[in-house]
Parts: sequence; structure tokens; C-alpha cells
Amino acid sequence: MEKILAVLFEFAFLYPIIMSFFWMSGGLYYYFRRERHARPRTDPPPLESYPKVSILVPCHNEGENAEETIGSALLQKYPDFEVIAINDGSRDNTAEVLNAMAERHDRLRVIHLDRNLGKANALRMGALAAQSEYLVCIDGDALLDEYAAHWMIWHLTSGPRVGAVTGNPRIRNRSTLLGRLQVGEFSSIIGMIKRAQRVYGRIFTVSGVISAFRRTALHRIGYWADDMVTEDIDISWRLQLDHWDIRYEPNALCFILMPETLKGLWRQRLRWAQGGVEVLLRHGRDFLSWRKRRMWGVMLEYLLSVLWAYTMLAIIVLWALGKFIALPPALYVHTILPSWHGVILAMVCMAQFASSIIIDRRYETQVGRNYFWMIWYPMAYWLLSLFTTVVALPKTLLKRRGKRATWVSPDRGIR
Amino acid sequence: MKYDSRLIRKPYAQPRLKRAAWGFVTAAFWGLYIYLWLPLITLILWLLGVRTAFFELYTRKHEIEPFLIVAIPVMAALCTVLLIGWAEYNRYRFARRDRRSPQEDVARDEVARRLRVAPALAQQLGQSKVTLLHMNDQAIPESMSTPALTAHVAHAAG
Repeated sequence: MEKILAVLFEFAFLYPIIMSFFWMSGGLYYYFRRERHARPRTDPPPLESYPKVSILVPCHNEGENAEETIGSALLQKYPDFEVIAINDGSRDNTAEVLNAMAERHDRLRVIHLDRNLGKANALRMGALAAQSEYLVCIDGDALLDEYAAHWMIWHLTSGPRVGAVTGNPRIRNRSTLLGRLQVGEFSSIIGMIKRAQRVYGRIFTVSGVISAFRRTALHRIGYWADDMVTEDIDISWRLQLDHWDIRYEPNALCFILMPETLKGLWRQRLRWAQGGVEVLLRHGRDFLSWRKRRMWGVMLEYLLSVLWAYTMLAIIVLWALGKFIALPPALYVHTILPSWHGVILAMVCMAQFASSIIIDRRYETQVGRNYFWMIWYPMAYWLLSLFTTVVALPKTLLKRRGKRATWVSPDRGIR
Repeated sequence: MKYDSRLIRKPYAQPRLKRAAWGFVTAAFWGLYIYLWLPLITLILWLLGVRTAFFELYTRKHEIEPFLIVAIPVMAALCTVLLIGWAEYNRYRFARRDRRSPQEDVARDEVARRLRVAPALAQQLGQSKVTLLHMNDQAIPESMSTPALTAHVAHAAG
């Protein structure tokens, strides 16, 4: 029993460190190999031909944001594109805002759905209405950089295997500590994970807030599923299970709003964690085939993260129990203070921050300033990921299958 | 806004070596500056019991856990070699070789069939500028109409 506990402790300590090593080495490798001497964001590579692009913007109660979001999508520096706003049964003034904009802009088309059917169905209708094979999908509150569509189409037209491209979301709202922390999180954790996964060859998920798809690829897998909590994780797994390549394009920037309250952050992250568990339960069996072996790494990483969350929980519970009741010596946890292990964690954390600054300064000035605020964030990140995973697993297991996922009003921070 | 466009801030216009050199000089002077505070820092640390901690961690055991000194860098190296080796192997093996043959772009009629939408409705939707889709409970559009541009769709939904 003591041996089992020792193994659990080692796993709990080593898992975040080993993942960090993979993220850092993958992130830096990607940067030095593909980004460092690449063309600047404002000078995307020329294409042989410029096929038409359809930018799909599903909107639900986006009256406040629609003007800005659609406005920035319409400013794309790309010769041939249309913007399709899909108003998914909004109850605010989204319809009026979109209609008024449609009168002013030739490139804008508007589809109103007569009821709220969720993002997946809105995107399905957008894909049906699109006049193009190439679909760039953004959220109703996300500001697309003017070169983003060009960068993404460059990947999609570069080879027949490329089924989707995921972009680089940047956080707009930075007024509060939570906002600033997420700026650091997106560069030091999320951006690096995406790069490392790209180096491995398969990614866990596209960013639902900015991604581009080949319609033929979506067609083969049956488009977005409307009963998944996070349609982006699901579509990424299904595309890759159908052997489509998903690329990451850091130059495809998109400015997004993130929660700035603890409640908003918790709800968002719980939804992400639920999405992960849901796809694991739904597609887990599909991975067993040898032909799907390239996805094993992604699945293994995810399984280990769930196992780690429960291991940490077990250690904390045993330690707390030991304070009140007499546990057998084999189960008694003396302390959860990390001592020398803490020094290693701190060093790895610093190394990860340094790596992300090296990479991210290409996209944002003074990105390092956020690291002053986020020194404790890696710990918060792992704790948040621990608790959301622990809650998400039973919640997903108890969820009614086939229930349509509709919009939840997110916290969008201070405007 | 405090931003003043007349200010010139272009640190990256200097050669990298020069920037790095000035960075090192500043860091060294920071070290010197902190050294001035050393007596006070020592006093505070002593009051906080750091001497005891130092004794517990170092002097009594006379060792640092060798596992951490040796195993962690080895793990870091292994992770790096594994991931980059895999990436380079794939690059070497698959560069300029596309195993997926190009596919015909899917036509709108096929998209409509997959989404269980009537082809005529799909064609009409593809050419529309502003439209209202009447959806059924299975999230399939049954018909479409052109809303008055000032109408509130939520009202249309009832």
C-alpha cells in the first residue's frame, strides 16, 4: 500500500512537470522551426489563386457586439469573401443590428433562425448557405484580425489533407487580475500546448472562437454535432479520426472577451472539462483501431489528465482525513508541502514563462508584463483543471444523451 | 489615454548584442542594489525562521535529493528528444508526399441532402441576402421568408 501511495505521489508531482517539458520543447521547436523567420503577420504568403471565403458568425443575443464583430470581419484584406451572420433566435436587438448592417454592406448576408437551436445548428445553416468551400468560423463577440482569413486559407489550399485550421485567440479585456491572468495563460499554456500538439501531429481541439474548415471535410464527418457541450472538441476529434490534418496558425489572430469573475471562469472551464469527458466517452471506442493510432497520444494525454485530477483529489482527501481520524500508516499522508519538489516546480514554471515570452513577443508588445501578475497562476491553473475535471466526469456521465446544447450567456468581463 | 505619439520608443532598433549588454549591466546593478539591503533582508529572514529551515533542509541531512538533480534534467532531455525526434521523422517521411488524393468540392445539393434540407430551399438560401429560416423541432429548416428589414425576429418566433 505504501508503494502505491508513493507511486501516486510521484505521478501527481511528475505529470505536470513532464507535460510542461513537452509543451516547452514543442513550443520552442515550433517557434524556431516555423515562426521565427516566417513572414510577418501583415504580409501573408501569396496564393496561387484566391478562392472565395465564407466567414460564418453565429450570434445569439449579440446586439452589443454584433456591429464591432461583423465590422472587423468585413475588413478582411482578402480579395473575395462574404460574411454570413447567423442570428440564432436572439431575444435582444441582434436582428435589427444585423439587418441594418446588411443594408450598408454588400458582402454581408444574414440568416435569422426563428428559434434558438444552439451554435452547432447555426453553423450548419451557415455551411449550407455559404457560397464557398472554405469556411472561417468565429464567435459573435470575437474581432477577427484583418489578415486572419488569408493566413487560414493559405493552409487550407496548401494540400488536400488539411481539413481545418485553428487560429490564435488573444484576450481583449485585461482590466482585472483574472483578465490579466488569462492573457498569460493563453500564451504560456494554451498557445504552447497548441504548438506542441501541432509538432506531435494531432491536436486536442481547434479554438471554437476562431477556426477555418474545408466544407468537404465537414461533409464527410456529418458537420457539427448539436448535442455536445463543446462542439469544437468534438469536431476536432472526428475530423482527425477521419484522417484530416488540423493546422495551427499563430498569425491568424482574433481578439476575444473572457470571463473576469470567478463564477464566470469556473462555468467556462467546467464546460470545457465536460466537453473533454463527453468526447472521450463518445469516441473512446473509435480509437482502438490501429489506423487511428496517431490519435492515441492525444487520448493518452487526456486520460492521464483525468487520472491526475483524481489522484490529486485522493491525496488531498487522505491528508485532510489524517488530520481528524487515525488512518493506517500506509494511507497516512504526512504533509502536502512540496519542499524540494516545490523548488523544481517553481523552476519549471519560470522556464515555461520564459519560453512563452520568447514565442509570444512576436504577436504582442510588452507581453512579459502580465507575468508579474500571474506568478501564482500555474498553481491556479492546475487546481482549476483538477476541480473542473473531478466535477465534469460525474456531471457528464449523468447527462441525458442526445440533449441539444444551446447557448449559455457567458461572462464577458469589464467592457 | 496616456499614450503620446510624439514619444519614440524603439528598443528593437538597437543591435541585439547592445540591448543584451545593457540588460546585463542593469541586472548587475540590481544585484548590487539588493546587496545594500542585505543586512535588513538577513534580519527579516532570521526573524522568519529561515535559519531553522536552512538547518532542516541542508545542514542536518547534508544532502539534496539526488533524484531531483539528476532525474529531472534527464526527463526534460528525453521529452525533448522524443517529441522533436518524432516531428523530424514525420517531416522526413511525409514531406512532399501527400497520401490523401484531392477530393471534389462538395456541392450544395449534397450538403442539403446530408442536412436533410430540401434542395430547392438550399439553393434559395445560397442566394439570399437577408432571410428568416423557419426551423422544425429537429433543427431542420422547412421554409424561408424575407423578413422586413426592421422586424424583430424574436417577435416572429412568437
